[in-house]
Amino acid sequence: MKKQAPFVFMLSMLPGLLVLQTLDAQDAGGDEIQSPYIEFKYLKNTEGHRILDAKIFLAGELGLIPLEGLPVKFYTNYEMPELLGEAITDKNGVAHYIIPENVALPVDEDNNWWFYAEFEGNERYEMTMEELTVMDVNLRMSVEENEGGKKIFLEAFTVIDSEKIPVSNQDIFVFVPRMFSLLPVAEGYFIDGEAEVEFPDDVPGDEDGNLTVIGRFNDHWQFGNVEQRAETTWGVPSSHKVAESHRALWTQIAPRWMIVTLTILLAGVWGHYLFAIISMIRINRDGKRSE
Amino acid sequence: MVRITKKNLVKELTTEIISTSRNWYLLFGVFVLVWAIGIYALIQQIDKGHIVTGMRDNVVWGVYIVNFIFFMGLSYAGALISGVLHLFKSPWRAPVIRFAELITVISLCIGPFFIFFCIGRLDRLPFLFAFPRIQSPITWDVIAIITDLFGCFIFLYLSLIEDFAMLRDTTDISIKPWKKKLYRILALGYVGTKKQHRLLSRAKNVMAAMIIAIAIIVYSVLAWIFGVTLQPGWHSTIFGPYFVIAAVFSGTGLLIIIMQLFRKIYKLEKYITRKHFVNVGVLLLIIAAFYGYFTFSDYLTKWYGSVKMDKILIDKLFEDYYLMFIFANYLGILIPLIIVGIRKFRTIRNIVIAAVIALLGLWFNRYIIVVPTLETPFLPVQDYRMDFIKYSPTWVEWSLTAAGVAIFGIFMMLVSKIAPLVSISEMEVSEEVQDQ
Repeated sequence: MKKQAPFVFMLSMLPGLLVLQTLDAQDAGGDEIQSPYIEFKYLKNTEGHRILDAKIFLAGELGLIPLEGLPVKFYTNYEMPELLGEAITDKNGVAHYIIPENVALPVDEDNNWWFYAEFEGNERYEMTMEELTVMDVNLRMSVEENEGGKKIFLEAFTVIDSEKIPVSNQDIFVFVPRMFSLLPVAEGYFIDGEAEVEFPDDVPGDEDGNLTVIGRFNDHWQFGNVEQRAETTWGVPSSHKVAESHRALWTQIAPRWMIVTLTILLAGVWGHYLFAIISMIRINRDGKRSE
Repeated sequence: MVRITKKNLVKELTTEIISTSRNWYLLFGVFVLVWAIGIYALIQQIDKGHIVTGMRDNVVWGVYIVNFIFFMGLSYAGALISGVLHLFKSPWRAPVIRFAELITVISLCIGPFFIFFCIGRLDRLPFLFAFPRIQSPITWDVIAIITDLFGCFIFLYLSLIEDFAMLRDTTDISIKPWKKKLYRILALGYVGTKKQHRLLSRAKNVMAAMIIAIAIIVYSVLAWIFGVTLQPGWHSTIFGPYFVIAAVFSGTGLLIIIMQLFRKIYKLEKYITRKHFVNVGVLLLIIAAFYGYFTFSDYLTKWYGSVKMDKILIDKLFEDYYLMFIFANYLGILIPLIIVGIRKFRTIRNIVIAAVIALLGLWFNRYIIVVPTLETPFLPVQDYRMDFIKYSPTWVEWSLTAAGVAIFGIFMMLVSKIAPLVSISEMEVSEEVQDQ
């Protein structure tokens, strides 16, 4: 027995050691403060609301992991930062702050607004911050359909010292919303504050052809994101009904070959069980007869 | 050679049926205690929900599924081993075959319970039977397990009939009247007439062949639940045979351990000798070689393919799970190969050590098949919390795992109070073979 003791000890320690490895998996990195990233964007939407979006996330081998529930503070005024407000990141890791309309935003010498987003850090994540500057631009959009095709007319201007200055030599894109993001479908170019874009004929809409068209400065170096939306019937009507397949893996009724195979297999197996059960009954009968 | 008489056989192989030793109570008490802790853990899980486990939205399968695959594997291995030993009439099978049969049925009864522990909405379980879709591998599994359970019960029962008849008729030992009555019912009036013997023998042969086939199909079906899923590490064409081989490997390991345990506790040294350990050990050796080959083949193709997520998975196995990976896929295969492969190492103790390592290795192999894959999904993880990205089993899961092992022991011990763990009828035949 004494001779076996070291072996018994080793064998009982082995699973313990391995189990320990499973136990610390969720604590991996638990004590370690992680460094998140921040993505900061400005959007001026159709209604003219000025929105600041700060997305906080971790970058790992599995991709970007959004961090939910973190407070983000938004500031303006580069010279003397003033707190605009605070927002909490949602499940997509985005803290969404709408700048109240009555807030007058100070501009710098280039007529830009300065914004700053900061997550102050906590016991798990390090502090992270990002800043951006944008120039306020007014974008207008109208849509028109005639024999020449589907046209989008865009007008863009900035106001400096109450003077209206048309935007020139800048690209603008036209998008349509799709499931995961905005799909660019056309491109225009501003000359003297105006751009004309031809809308393609082959963009799918809903079953009635309804389609939202978005004219947008997209991640523009000077204006950030500024967009105008219009509801049109320019989409190609499309039916999203799934074509009915009579027998497939995903239909109510299974493919015929599958039913036949399973039936043969089960009948074969249960038939043999039946044979064994009948044999037992016959054994019992024979036993009774022998008595 | 000492000739063993039938009287001796009956006396020596039924000691636990006629009386209960202190060791029996002691071991039974330990098992019941572990089981009770498991029940407490289960109550906690039912009361508070699955939040008390380590499973979350991302890693939705954990130790419960590992245990399910593991127990089902043991069961199929038991079926394969007992079926093959019976069909090929191996002369040394007699003291071993009943253990294999019991492993089959008991593991098969325990395994599915881990699925129940894993399911969040157990109230929806009846839908699986009420609205089955035969396209679903889960439905295949339900059908397969039920079919297998019936088949294995029938095979076990058939192999017990002769022993029940012997215990009913024997006057060499004193059996309690209620047990005599039970044996009278269970023996089905078997008195050993030529016709009865022929019927029983044919039924056993048919069922032995059937359970071999069913074991292969059923465990392949279980493997296909993984194989048909588009997940890194699972979507493999060799998962069917790989799982079957792995199952036999673990089952052979368990058989050796059970043989040694009951040999010691029930003092069966005279019947279960070194020869039996070596024979089952050689089976373990052969299966280990096949299992090693399949494991290497599976990981080599994944690694060589360099598909992004497969590569991340393999990196994870060699970094976060290196201990388990090395143990399950290197030591768990090589140690049994070396111990049983080299003649001078082939002692009973060493073979049991090899079996324990093989069995543990297989459990951890299941763990590293299930968990790291779920931690490496194709679609990005939607929650940042570490417990959503990584999985760690909690005390609740470990308690229920231990309870599963305990209930296995409880069943084995309860069966030993009704039926001999070494088949008396097989031993008789085996003695005749030796005489000839």
